Amino acid sequence: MKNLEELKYKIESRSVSDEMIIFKISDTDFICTQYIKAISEIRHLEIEYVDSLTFLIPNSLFDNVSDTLKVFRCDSIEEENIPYKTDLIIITKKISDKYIDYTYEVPKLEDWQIKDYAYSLLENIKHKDLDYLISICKDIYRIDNELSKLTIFSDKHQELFNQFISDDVFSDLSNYTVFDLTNALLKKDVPKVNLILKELQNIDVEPIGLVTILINSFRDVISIQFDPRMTAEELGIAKNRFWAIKRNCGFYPNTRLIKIFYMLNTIDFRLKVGDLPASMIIDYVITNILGDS
Amino acid sequence: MNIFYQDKLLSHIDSFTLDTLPHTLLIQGDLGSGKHLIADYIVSKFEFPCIDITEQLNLDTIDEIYLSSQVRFFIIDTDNISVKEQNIILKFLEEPCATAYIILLNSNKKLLETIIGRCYKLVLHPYSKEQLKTFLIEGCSEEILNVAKTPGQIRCLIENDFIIMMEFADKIFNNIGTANFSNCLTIPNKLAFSKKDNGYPIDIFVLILIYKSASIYDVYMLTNKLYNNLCMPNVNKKYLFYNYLIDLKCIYNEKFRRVKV
Repeated sequence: MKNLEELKYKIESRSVSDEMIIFKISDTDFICTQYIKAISEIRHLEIEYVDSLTFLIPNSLFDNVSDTLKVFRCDSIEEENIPYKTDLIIITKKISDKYIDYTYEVPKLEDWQIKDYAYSLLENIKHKDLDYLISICKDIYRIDNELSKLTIFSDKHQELFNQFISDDVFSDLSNYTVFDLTNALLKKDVPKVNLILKELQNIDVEPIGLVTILINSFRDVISIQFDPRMTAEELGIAKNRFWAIKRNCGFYPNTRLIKIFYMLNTIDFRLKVGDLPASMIIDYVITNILGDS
Repeated sequence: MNIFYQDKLLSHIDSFTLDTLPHTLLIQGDLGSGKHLIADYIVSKFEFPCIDITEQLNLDTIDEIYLSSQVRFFIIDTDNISVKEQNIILKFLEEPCATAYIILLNSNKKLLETIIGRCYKLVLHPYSKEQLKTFLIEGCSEEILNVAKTPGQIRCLIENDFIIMMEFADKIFNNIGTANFSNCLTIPNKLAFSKKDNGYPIDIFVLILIYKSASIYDVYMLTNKLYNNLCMPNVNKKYLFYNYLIDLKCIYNEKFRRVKV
């Protein structure tokens, strides 16, 4: 497999040829998109994302003439014959050995690399401010998106960052998920629930999904809390999952657990038959679980 | 094609001609009463191609039907479709297509009234015990006739080992009062709540529960409530069954407490 540094050198020396490039990724394809953007600029080509490789079969005399850089994404290319094509980039997780001479292995993006990237883009913003922004973004694409809100301005980035914070520009970001909410409810962690509720509109919490996760979680807790001799094998679950559930036991007395489980099943039924509006569910569920504790 | 004991319905279907055949038919009958057989009978009489679109109920499918010039039958099994999918059917029923004949199959499960109102109903006649006896295979216990109301239910009970299911139901009723909740929650593992699950089909097992619970009023009413709730569209049957077990345990705990006192 080829070394990504080699491609980087070719880009920096503006000597990228029209040869096909295959990026083998293990995680996000963010790094690949940076290279694709650079290559398209050097070779003055438009980027076109294609759904299949069938365009490679020429239909006419003019098919080999193109001013676009074709990019194809897929999970694996193992058996398929890729007719050699110029100005083609493939992003995939699995590639057959016969294309090894065209393949660059893309390493997983490490946290320190993401930070370095952010610091290099916005050199005059304090690192701790950028670290905060990185911590509340879910992935590198979101980080890049938020950073671009600042990089479009040529200077005064720190001032702008502070302005954005006070204007709540980043307020739709949250590092809480629905699982943080369900875990907090399972552990009867009222302060944590309150904290998450404040950011609720920024978290993707779908009412029916929340009820389903809670039903399954409380059922698992009941299975273990009511029978201390229960084992992972008897429950048919992995040991690490068993111990994770066990850590959620003991926060509610047995009778309360049953009442909550019954209430959640009833809510699911009433939701599905249209008896309860979905907009009320989150508050209704939280109040009924934590109330009367 | 052998359809037994539905002569009146069959002769009614025989009276249809291409000019008088309604574009939307609703075949209603209990689970296992022969709705698919009746639908096949209609399709074979008129010899148009037939497609089951139950799993592809969306606006794209409806659009394709409208655009097609070929006369075809479309079958939809409405027993497990959601309210959203019922609304898609309704949209289609409100503006029928000249080349499409829709056959809806329904096991008396809740359907939108607006759908029922727009369909020509064909109702399968209930089977008597004597008629059902003819569907028993050799060696089968006649006790099945106390549970099953249709030939399909008889077949399902035989396929899923009726005696074992009866014993399982007995075990539930005899032990739920003293079992802990942890054990109670393992009961649904032996039941199939959807086509993907392994186990005794819940729609059939609940009939056994109703039969077995007949001697205790509270339990009988609770089990009937479960049966009715299972008929609602789009509900999670497993969650309904969990609550049934909790209520059942409470009833038996109360009975046990009273006996102890």
